[in-house]
Amino acid sequence: MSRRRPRVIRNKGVIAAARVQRTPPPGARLPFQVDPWTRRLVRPLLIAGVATAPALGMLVIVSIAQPDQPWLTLVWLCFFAALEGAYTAAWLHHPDSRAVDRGTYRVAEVFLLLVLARIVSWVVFGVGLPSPDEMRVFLGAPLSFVMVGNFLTTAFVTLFAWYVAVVMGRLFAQLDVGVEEVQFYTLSPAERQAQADNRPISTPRGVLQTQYMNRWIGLGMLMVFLAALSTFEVGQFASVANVPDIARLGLRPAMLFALLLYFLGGLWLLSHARLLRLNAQWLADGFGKEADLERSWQRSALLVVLLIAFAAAFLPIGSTLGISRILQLLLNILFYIAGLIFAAIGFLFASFLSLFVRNAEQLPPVTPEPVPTFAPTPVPTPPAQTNPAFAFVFTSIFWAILIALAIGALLFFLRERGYRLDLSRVQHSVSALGQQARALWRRLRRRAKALSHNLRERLRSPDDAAPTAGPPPLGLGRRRGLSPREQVRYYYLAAVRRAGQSGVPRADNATPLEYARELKQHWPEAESELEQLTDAFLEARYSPRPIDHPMVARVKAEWKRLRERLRRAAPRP
Amino acid sequence: MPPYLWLALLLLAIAFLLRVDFVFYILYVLAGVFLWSRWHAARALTHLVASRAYRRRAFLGEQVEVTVTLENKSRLALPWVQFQESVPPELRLEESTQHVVSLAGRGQRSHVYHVKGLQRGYYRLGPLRLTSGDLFGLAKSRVGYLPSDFLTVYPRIVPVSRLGLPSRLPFGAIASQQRLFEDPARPMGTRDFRSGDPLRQINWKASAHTQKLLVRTFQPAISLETMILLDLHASDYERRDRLYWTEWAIVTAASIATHLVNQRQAVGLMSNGVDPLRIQEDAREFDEVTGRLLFQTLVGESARSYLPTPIPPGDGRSHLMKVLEQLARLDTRDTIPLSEWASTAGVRLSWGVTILAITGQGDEPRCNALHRLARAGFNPILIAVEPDANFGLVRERARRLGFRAYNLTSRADLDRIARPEVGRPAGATP
Repeated sequence: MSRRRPRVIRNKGVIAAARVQRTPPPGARLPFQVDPWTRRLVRPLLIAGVATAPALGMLVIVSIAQPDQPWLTLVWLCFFAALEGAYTAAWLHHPDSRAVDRGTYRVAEVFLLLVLARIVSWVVFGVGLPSPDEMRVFLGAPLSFVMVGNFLTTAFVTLFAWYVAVVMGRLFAQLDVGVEEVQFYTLSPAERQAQADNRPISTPRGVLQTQYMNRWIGLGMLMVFLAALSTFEVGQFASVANVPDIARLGLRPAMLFALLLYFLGGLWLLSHARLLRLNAQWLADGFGKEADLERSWQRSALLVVLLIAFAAAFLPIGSTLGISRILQLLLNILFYIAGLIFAAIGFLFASFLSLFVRNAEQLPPVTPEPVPTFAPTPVPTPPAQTNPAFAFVFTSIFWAILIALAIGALLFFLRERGYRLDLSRVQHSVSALGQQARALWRRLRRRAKALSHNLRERLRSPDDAAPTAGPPPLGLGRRRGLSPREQVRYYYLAAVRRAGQSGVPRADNATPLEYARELKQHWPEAESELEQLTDAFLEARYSPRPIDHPMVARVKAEWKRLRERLRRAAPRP
Repeated sequence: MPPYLWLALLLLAIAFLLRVDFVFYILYVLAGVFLWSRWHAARALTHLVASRAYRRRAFLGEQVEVTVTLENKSRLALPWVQFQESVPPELRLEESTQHVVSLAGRGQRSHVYHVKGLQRGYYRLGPLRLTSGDLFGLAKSRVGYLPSDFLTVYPRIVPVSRLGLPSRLPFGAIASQQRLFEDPARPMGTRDFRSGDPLRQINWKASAHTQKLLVRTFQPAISLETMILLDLHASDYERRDRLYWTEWAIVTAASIATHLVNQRQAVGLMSNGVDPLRIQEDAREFDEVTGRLLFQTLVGESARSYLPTPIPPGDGRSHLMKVLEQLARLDTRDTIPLSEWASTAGVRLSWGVTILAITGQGDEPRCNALHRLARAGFNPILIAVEPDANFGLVRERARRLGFRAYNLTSRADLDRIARPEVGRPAGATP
């Protein structure tokens, strides 16, 4: 039985020969160079600067409303977010990034920016990172983590700067000549003709440039509005009814800086847009270009803008009052005319309707319907007490998902940018860290056991406690590690031990109050300290009420004063 | 009006309405940038000087380096200048002739490209189109031109070591040893006395000085002039390969002219073809692909009006360049047959001039025309460039009519007729 051999198609013969024949020899490529510094540094910085300017304007407004908070320090966060947005927009436009799921990537980006905004808002508006007690509150009530005014404002301003940078960055990435265009149009004419099917689709760059202009001017209106808002005398808002009558102040330096940055930077970006459009045109038309043209273009454009801005600074700034009045008058006239037209239409419509109700006076009078009686609204029942176990599970799930999302977003963000996680190294580090943590845990556990044993021995009960036995002296750090209740107990027992050493030991059957009385007889000058210390101990020992930190601080102060008195009263050896 | 201008006006209106005085500053800056863009774009090219430097003539297959120089006479920098040199694709090598450069104040940039003429002709280089504009796209780009220049590519020249053209007249360094008609006013040098030399030609002073008899030598009294009659009347060539054989006729003429000038002989050129350069300058047309000057007659106008100006016999390199330039430009048209034109062509020629008639065939009318020239005292030679199996008959007819006939259909033929008739080996320098 013969087995048929599989057919092997080799790249030989007539087809291969024709292919080789069709392929022209590689010719000289068009010398078309672009400046990498312009793309990688100057333009992203410029876009980030222009995108930060409106955010700075908003921050100025917020800082006027809340002058006691350092809002303007957030401008660096906005600049960072804008810079990240500009770079990411350029990176996502690159052909190598086409496989990236843009929606997911943007979501991860926004999520990470929110996390960053939360951390920065903690640092800027709080006393640093949250304390364990605050952490406990966040764990119990997750919404309190985000529903903070400062954070929401920070997040909004940051995301606004980021969004503007992304939009502008995307526009400029589309305006720039693509890799495929450079590859195709720099081929020799014969090769270009042979690869005619690979001709890149032309981008409507004129439309893109117009879009940039429109957006720039549109955001400029927002800037003007913010600038106007920042000049109103805030105190008169409550007393003056007509807004234009409110007294006006001068522009704040930060707002002035934002306006200058926005308009001058925008003009410079306009020259970039022009350059990119011409670049594409030159490339398609087969013009050679060297990289120094772009550098000299940047220099010339910056120089022109700065010189004109400098010269304009010496020109008189006129008053807009007269023109404003004229415009207001025009607007009022327009509104009046619009009102007249509206009234005329209403009159005509009413006249038209009156044709249908001509005999209305002959109709019987309409008897008003009885007013419906409202039933008393039932008293809302208080919401059922939430199950603590359910709440614990819910909050745990919430935080687990949130942390997992944050880690996932970070990993996704870094992985797509080419930062791969080396699992073996991570496992090694994790195992080393785990070993260290386990050793630390064992040590802590041993110490905790010893400490708890000692405390149990001493705090078993006031009755069975050793009369003169006091707590061993603890260091400051270990004392702070105790709970407030335990700290109060510690200070009282330390005082008992000190009193025993001074010659007034506590009898086994003496209650704290009896012992306090005995101590008062020996040291009448420390009566108040003894009373307060004893009362605090009794509350900490027998009362279920929570002991707060201020109370601990008071007890500590009393204990310190008592200790000084006992030390002075103690017989010297 | 672009939509962004409406938006800009709206922005200003809002600023005025909200009484933001700072808008005046923005207005000044925007107006300043706008005015600067308009002003600078308008004057950018007025201070730009462009020039083109290259050799105006080239031999076939020779590379010519063309340097385009842009010089900014202004103190202000030109951020971008786009220049586009129009060079026919067939003339240009694989180099880009369009670039974008920036020019510093008082700066200068040069761009070099090469052209290579693969076909004889009169070519146009340029015009150079210059475009410049502003940095912000607020003003229209301005365009300027540097007028075209021209390049002449000579026809192919076949190196003919020696051309054994016979002559009844003294032919100088060529094989003839006749020394009749020497001009005593044109001393050429001295040589040893030989038996038979007239005594009046002895240079006594030199003989006394050297202690041996020396005689003066003189240049011929009647110069050995050769006039090339190049027949480019289209009907005188077979229709099928007319283009090839007319080109070959031009190559033959150029080669012979070069050879004769190298031999310090005077040579002239007459042709019944057409010279496209005689067309009025504004009516000239150049081929878009090859860049060659084309000949196109106006409606109702005869091609005879464009016969090239005859170049009288002359010697020297500059004269040869003139002959070659005309040969580079000549084109074939139906003008006037050689048989009619030859007799009129010899009117202005001196007696005894050798006339090389280069044509397609040696038919009877053409032979008769040359016979008339021979009878008029000239020394005609027929050179037929189209292959003819019965050329022996033509040669015989020519011999009977008193002139020689050659059939040069290839370079080998050209070399063959260049061999000396007697004595010297082929390729030896006389």
